[in-house]
Order: sequence, then structure tokens, then C-alpha cells
Amino acid sequence: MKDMIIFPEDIERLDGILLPLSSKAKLLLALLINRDGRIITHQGSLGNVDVQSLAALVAGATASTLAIANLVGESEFSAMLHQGRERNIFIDAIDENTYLSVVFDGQTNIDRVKVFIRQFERELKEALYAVYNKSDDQVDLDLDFGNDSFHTFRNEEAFTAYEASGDGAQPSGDAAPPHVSQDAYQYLFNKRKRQPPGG
Amino acid sequence: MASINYAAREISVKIVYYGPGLSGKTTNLQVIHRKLPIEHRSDMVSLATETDRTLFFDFLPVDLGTIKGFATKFQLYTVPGQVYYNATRKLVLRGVDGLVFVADSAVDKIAENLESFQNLEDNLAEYHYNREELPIIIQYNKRDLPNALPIEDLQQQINRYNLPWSEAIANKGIGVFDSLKLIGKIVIDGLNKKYSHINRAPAAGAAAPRPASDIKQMGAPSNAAPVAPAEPQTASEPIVQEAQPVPLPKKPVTAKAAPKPQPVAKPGGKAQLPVTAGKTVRADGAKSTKSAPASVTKRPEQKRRGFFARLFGIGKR
Repeated sequence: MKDMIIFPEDIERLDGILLPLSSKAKLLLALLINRDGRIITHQGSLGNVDVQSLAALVAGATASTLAIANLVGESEFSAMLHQGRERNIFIDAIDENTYLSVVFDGQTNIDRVKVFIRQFERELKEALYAVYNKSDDQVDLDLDFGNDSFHTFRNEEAFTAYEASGDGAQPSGDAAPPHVSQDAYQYLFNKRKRQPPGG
Repeated sequence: MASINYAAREISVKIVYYGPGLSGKTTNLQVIHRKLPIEHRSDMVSLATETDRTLFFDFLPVDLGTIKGFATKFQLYTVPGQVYYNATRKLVLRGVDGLVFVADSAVDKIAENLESFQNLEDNLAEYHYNREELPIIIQYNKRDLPNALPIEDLQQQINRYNLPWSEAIANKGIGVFDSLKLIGKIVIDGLNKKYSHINRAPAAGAAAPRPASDIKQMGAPSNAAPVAPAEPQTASEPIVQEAQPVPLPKKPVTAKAAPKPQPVAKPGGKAQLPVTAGKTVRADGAKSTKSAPASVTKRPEQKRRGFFARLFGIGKR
């Protein structure tokens, strides 16, 4: 299994393709994902839609479609179109590792979208080739965090240590403790106030 | 395969919760979703049947914080446990970086656990993934069942590769985070071994690693002739995880195959969370202290205000 290593210049190059594609084809969102459901890059947005979840679901849909293709004797279905009342999704296999998933509405149509995807497909393939063909030696990471823990768990570990001391813990004051963001503190404090005692 | 994105400065890894039907895989994700602070997780996606059985997968992206400037994003997936969903189960395994095998501790579920583990091995083999190189831990769930087997029996029957393991009562939120921490630590340690230049032997003529600070100035990809990658010291060596179990206090058991459990003393006489602290041992027998996770503490039982107290209650007053 080879890891996917993305450098800033890769993103620059891919975005330099997705941007004119989105503009010419009038796309709401152009999402480049690998077959495992990981986002490589994207252009545009759908408001507050979580693109990570969208990528995972698109990868799931394409994976199951591929399995269906194999069952009916096809090597793959290279493209998928989901038509909605207002928005549509078109998924196109760029290479054996990557899908381009685009979301569009009534400002454009599927033929126009396909034409422009075809126009930019070769450039995308070349840029993606550079992404997938890197040597591990081009990477230098220092991820050694010794006996330290993931940041996200530190609150729980601190709580566990505090609880182990036998004292009860009560929130006090308006200022968040140094390890908690003020927003999270305020949200949780308000939420706590809304909860009925003992509920 | 992990994704290392220097542009966004983030590392994304895929963790799959595997195991027989109704062993608690979805419950694990639900607990993580419920308990993580909102800024560290997104919405959970569940593709389930009308009876809430997983049809395709559950998906929960979580952010476990930054390590040396890199955000660590974990994409947590579950598979459908029912036997006849193997086609979809296999699809979810594609590109997996770490596995949590959720085993049901009930005495009558042993056969299902074994069948599911065998199915996992078969599916990994179909993708040509090497089980020995893939981080896998076993979570013995449902430890509160009256007919739960002693850990030593479960270890003997299920854990034939001596994988790291932990205990859990997922529906009460106990042990869920310990399993996530354990697999997260092993996966990140694996990436560190693979990509940290201090862990790699220098090879003559090998391309110099790109320091993170120089990335912006590198411009277009190099046209230099391809160079044989440096031989990683550890990457090709299968990593064997040696488990050091800490059992549940309620079920004192006689040690058989596993090392004798060491109860952890806790002030106030509260119940202790069952967890496993694993240490990583290379196949050649050389122990790596770097991979040894910190000792994991437990939360005895779920308290209503525990979540808030966890956030607010730092230091004695």
C-alpha cells in the first residue's frame, strides 16, 4: 500500500485545472477524491455541506457501482450521474485511483459538464500522476510525540487524573481553562445550564 | 494508505472497526461522536437498514489534534457485521491504515468472532494487504455480560497473533477511547517510523528528504532521475505488538496464556477501566520503546457531568 503524498505544488497545479473547469462548466463543486474516499482537493462549496462525508459517500457509491459492474461482466462503469430535482452529481473516473465528482444545478447541463471534463481530463491525469508517483524519500515527517497524547484526548486524561484525586470538579468563572477554547467552553457551559438537575 | 498533505499540513488515516454482527462497532463510533468536543468532529454518517443494522458503513471523521504542526485527521469507518454483507464489508477495507477488531465477549459468540476474524484475513489477502504490516488491535467488548468469557480464554482463542488488545463496555462508553488512542498511537508511530529521516538509514545517492520548511520554495516537481528509495530500517520489518493486559477488577481470572494482570490502584476505591498498554516489539526481538503507548487510565463509570467536568475540572480547588 502506497501512501498518498501531496505537496503544495500538486494542489496548486490541480486547483489551476479545477478552477477554470468549474467556471466554464458552471459547477457548484468540483471534488477530486481517491478511491478510498480521501479528498485530494476541491473547488467551490455547497454551503455547510461537509465535503469529507460527501467524499466518503461518493467513494462508497463508486465502489459498490464498480462491484456491480464486475457482477454484470463489465470491468467498470466509468461515469455515474445522479439526477436530483435541483442539483445533480456527476462522477467520472479520471484514472484508476481517482474520481472527479462534480455538483451542478440548472445553470448548466450534463452535456456541457461532460464536454468540459473531457477537455481538462488529460491535464488532470498528468497532475495526478505526479501525486501518485512520489518516492517515500521525498517526505520527511517528525511525528514522534513520545509519551504525549493526542490533543483531543488531553481533556479526558486531565479529567481522569483529576477524578482520580477524589475531588469533585465544578466549572467556575467565565474564562475558559487554558486547554479549552472559549467557544467550546461557552457552548458547553450553556448546554449544561439547560440540563435539568439530575437529568 | 495514509494521505500526507503538506499543503493543508494534515495527515489523514483510515481506521476501520471490524467484527461480527452486533459486537458493538457502530456503538463505538456513536460514543466517540457523542463525547468528542464539537470542534474535533463532524457529523456521523450511517448507512443503516430500517432496523438500525449497518447496511454499508458508518463514517465519522475526527480530528485528534496536531503533532509537530501536522493535523491528524482520523476517518473512522465501521463495516456491516452480518455474514451476507461481505461484498460491502470488503469495499470498506480498501485503503485501510488501521483496524480495530471488535470482538463480542459472550461465550456463545466465540464461533462468530473467529469466523469474522478469518473473514478479515481473507478480505485483506484479496487486496494483497499484509496483515503483519497492518496495525490491528482487538477490543473485547461487552465485558459486563454475565456470560462473558474470561480474558485469558478470549486471548487464547481469538488473539492467536498476540495483537494489542483492550477491554470495553462500549454501550456505557467505557474503554472506547482507550481503543481509539491505542490504534491511533500505533498508526502514527508506524508513519513516523516510515517517514522520519532519523528512523531511516542513510542510503548513498538517495534523494534528500524535503524539509517541511522548504516545501513552499520547491516549485514544480523535480525532473531529476528517479533514485532508489533509501532502505527504511523498520518499514519492511513486520511489527508484532505484544500486549500487556490490565483486566477488569470485577472478574478476577486465573492467568493462563496471557501475562498476569496488574490491577491499577486508584484513589477513592473506584472501579478501574480495563485497558491494555501495548508495547511494540519488532520481529527480530528488538524492543522499541518509542512505540510503547503511555499507560492508559480508565474511567470507572459514565457520570452525567463527566463530560463537563473533564473540560472544566483541571487542578484542585
